[in-house]
Amino acid sequence: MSNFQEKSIQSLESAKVLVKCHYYSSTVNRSYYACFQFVMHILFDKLKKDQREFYAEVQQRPNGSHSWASKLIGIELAKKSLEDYKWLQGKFPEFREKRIVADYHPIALSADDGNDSITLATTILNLLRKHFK
Amino acid sequence: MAPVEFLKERLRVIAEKFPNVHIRYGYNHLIEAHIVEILPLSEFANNKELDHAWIPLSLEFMQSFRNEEVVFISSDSTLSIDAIIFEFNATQVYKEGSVEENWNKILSPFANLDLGTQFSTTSFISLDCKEYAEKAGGILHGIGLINSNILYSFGNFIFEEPVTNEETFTSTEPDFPMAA
Repeated sequence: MSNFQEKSIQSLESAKVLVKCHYYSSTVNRSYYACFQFVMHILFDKLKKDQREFYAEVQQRPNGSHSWASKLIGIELAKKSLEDYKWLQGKFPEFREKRIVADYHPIALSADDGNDSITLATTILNLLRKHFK
Repeated sequence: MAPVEFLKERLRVIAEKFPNVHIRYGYNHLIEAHIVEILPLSEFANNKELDHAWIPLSLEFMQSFRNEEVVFISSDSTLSIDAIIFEFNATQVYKEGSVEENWNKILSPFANLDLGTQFSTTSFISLDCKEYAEKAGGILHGIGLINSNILYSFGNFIFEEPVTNEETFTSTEPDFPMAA
């Protein structure tokens, strides 16, 4: 199992533990990272994207690795299913925003926020697994 | 061509092809992405022809502008536009007969209420409803501020049954300006 795949599994499991402890911001963070790490797993392990090339490309961009990874996986997913691309191109940035708010904004998140983020992460992971076996 | 110009040019073509669709463009600085909002949700969710217009545009944008990201959303998204930079067919979506009819149904339970009264909490308001409320200049916010567990649905709208107990209404100043 690749590092990123294992990290993704651990992140989602961590999210499930954190939500039980009522640590909802951290739950959102881990849920989101479960998806981001799985995207990295697909890019590097399934699609054989060169890691050095990826990070070199990130260096040339103003908005970082998350946006770039999201964009790359979207383009790959569109080759497989436009319907799923339509869904993911909206949901993944939503999740990214939710994670930024959870980490950096001084607002309290609810149990629903935590549980919803786990559900969303699980749905995204299932969709990606379906298309990138 | 700059990303915004590209989007404006291509979205104009889509807007002409789909005159019932309201298209709004803006930027979300939190996730650093261009946001295109397509309304109403029913069109965005179900109109396959519309899909075939915007999805290729989305992909073309992603590949043409490597440093930019565009996200297409509708009223069900939690993403928001910081400020609308341009829009097409702004008035068209609100002229649908069904929307008017449904809105009248929503208003009917409130026929005897003073719409200037501020309800206690915003427990639920559908996004379609919110859009319409904003278009109506604020008075309809009062309609959305309803406290109950019972949900009603009329077409695109979902709202909660009004609480008739006056104790649930506050007499304090509203949080937002009500329509004159």
